[in-house]
Amino acid sequence: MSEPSTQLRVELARGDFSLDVDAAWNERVAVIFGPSGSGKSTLLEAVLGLAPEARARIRLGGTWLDGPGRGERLRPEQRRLGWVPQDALLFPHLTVERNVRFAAGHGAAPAGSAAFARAIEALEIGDLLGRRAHELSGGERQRVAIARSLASGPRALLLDEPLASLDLPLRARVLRHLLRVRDELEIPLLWITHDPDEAQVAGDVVIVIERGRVVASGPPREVLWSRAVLPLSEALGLENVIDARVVSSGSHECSVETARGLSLVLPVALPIGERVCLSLRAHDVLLSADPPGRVSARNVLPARVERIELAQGDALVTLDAVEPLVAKLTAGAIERLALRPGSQVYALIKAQTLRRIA
Amino acid sequence: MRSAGFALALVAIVSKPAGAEDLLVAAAVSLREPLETIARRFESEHAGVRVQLAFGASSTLAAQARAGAPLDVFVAADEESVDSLAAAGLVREGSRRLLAGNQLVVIASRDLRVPLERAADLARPEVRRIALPERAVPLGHYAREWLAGRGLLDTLTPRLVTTEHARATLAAVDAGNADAGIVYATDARVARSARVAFVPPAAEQPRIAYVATLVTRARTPALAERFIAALAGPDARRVLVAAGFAPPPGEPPR
Amino acid sequence: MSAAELAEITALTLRVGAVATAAILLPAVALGLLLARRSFRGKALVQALIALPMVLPPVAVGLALLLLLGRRGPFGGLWSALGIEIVFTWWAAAIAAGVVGFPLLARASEQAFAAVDPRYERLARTLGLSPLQAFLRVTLPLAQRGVLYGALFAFTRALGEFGATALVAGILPGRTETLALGIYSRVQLGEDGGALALCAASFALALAAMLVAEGWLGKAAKPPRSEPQASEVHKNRPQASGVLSDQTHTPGRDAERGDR
Repeated sequence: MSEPSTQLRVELARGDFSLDVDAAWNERVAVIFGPSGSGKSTLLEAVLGLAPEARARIRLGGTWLDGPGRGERLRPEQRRLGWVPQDALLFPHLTVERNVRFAAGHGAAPAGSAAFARAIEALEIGDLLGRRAHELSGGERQRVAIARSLASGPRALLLDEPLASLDLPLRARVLRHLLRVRDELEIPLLWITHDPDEAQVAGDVVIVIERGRVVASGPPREVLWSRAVLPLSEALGLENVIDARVVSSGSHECSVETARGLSLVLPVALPIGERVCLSLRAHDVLLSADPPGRVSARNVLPARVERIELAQGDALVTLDAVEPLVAKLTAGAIERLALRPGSQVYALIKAQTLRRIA
Repeated sequence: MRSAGFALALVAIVSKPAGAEDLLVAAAVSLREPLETIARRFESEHAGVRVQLAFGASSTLAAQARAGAPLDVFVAADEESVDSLAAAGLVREGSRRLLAGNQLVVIASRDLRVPLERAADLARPEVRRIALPERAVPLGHYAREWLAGRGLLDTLTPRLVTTEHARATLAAVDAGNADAGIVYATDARVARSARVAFVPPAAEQPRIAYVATLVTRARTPALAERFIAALAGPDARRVLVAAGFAPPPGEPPR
Repeated sequence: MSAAELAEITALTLRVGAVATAAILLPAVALGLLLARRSFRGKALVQALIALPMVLPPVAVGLALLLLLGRRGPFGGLWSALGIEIVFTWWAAAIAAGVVGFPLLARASEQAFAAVDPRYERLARTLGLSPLQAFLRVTLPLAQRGVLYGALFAFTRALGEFGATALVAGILPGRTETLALGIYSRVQLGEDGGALALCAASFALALAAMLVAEGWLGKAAKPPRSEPQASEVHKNRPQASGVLSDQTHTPGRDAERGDR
């Protein structure tokens, strides 16, 4: 059995906080997911080589950064990692162009303008080159930061909470853009976030961190709905993520359909054929044991209960409503409705609770 | 950032420090005017030479010399200052020259309304502040010696205002910041508003002697010697007399 | 006072100030960087020691220098043996000026470096720069204004230095007579005209220095906050608006254009 191409073993203590992470995977795109204070940033520092006090064995995309042997630890400037910090952190005294070109000629970065031109094109910042950081919007800064990292010819890209410092209306747009960039790249990508939306769609594998320890790791759906992660739900808000395509559109609403044929109504007019990625909070899903009469919810979906997980007075109900759905109810509600795996229910979803994330 | 460094460098180039054909002469402040005249003449007679004059209280200049000041020639208003240099091994044996003498006078501020005609008048209540240099300065020593001789030192001590040197004393009385002061006769001649109140009789005057000497650390001793010779010469004597200096004590009066 | 004399004294003063500032530049800035970036045992003591020449009476500083550099202090024998004469020369004036200016530059540099987010330098490291390169290309340019202000204040302090200079360099015309010392000795001599002329020169220098500070350094004003920070408020509000929040999508255009 060959070793996984990415291995993270990091031990580190700082004041009251201690990090003890052990995770490994082969997928190219991984999400590190956890609430604030869970140690994600510290882990990132260790990966970048900026935490010399850490005991680490780190391999990323097949390359050892902190090797098992003595003296196999690369200095930060040798690692060739593209770090895109949380608030872009563009050098304020340089123009966009010089920010993006910053790595040219240093370390192992390709000094050629090919990398520069590619990065400018991929992030579509060509007409921003003469400006300075304070003249850019949040989304533009983000793109410049990514271009800067890409232009340095990194062997992997590390996105630190890429959407956290953006206005809410912006996030969907920027996320779409980022997912495109992700798809165009071939290098490993480490996406760090506390947002469950992103965790669902950004990566092929999710590693969940809480209080410095890995709590779960695996494919997004599995991990985010698992019992181990349930205690986090208060902090994070579990989400349903639904991919669909617009099939019909009116003046104020449209109808979308998933690959498996689930239909939903959205209270906004979108062009037919448009692809959407929707998120729905588990606690926004109402369940009815009987067929509901006239209700205000636009979407009423027949569903079958697959699984019920209980913890601390909450219940997470996994449903099969043509698409898998998760609903969050109180334990009391489960009892009152006498729900069991196999029960037939109706899921009621208000159109407004469906959020478009991409 | 770079232009800052450039500006700094440019400024540093301006003004070169003392050259090799320069003489540094430190002298008692009362010799100011005549010494400047003598020095300019010396420069015109010795091409390429610059005589730099530093004036102050003889005691202060001597202290600086002992601490390392690079003097070539020292002209003091008393023998003691030169002796202190000699004790530190800084005086070339046999290079001392007696140049001139002087007299104490009492000056009064223009604003003083009461008559000041003799020593005892200094004790008048209207004379609130009397300026003179501190004890270590030759004039300060001479003046206190005289006051003590008149039995007035203790009475007047609370009213004494100490200044840095003879000319500072003069300036204080000129400015009206002191009601009266004790300076040399030669200083009183350049007073602006202060007037000579009276001159103590010869019997009461202390022995005031101006002495020039070569300092052993001189960089160009030959040049320094020539300057001292000039100071002791007839031309210089004429300048000193014209400025009001007396012949050196011990010389028969002309 | 002749124009030549005025020019000579002014030039000497500028020279002393320039040399003093140039001499302390590297050590003071380096010390400022160390204090800004590292904490170590005894750091508070070091900061206090650095501040001493600033808080002590200048004459006390002068006396200390006189003892250290003069022939009668503990190192007197050493200076004689090496044939070095420092006191009452132009060098002593520069040393005195440098010593009193050092704390100003060191502290200004410390503050300037501390104000630079250390993450910038770390980011530069990950882009392939060595620690020195990262310092030179990122931290130093960002701290530049503060450091230059400090240097300017050290320079003007050096120009006006009196107490320490009087003790350790004396008032030797042509060699150590700076503007400040010149004013003092002329007042003592009752030469008010000359003293005032030197005062005017001092004023002109000080004014020039302040204009440089405002014009040259002040003009690179802080960039305006163009992002309305009110958007920060929205971040943590529970999402109530659902799909409606994305209504501005128009088909076929780069979604980012409508950003602002």
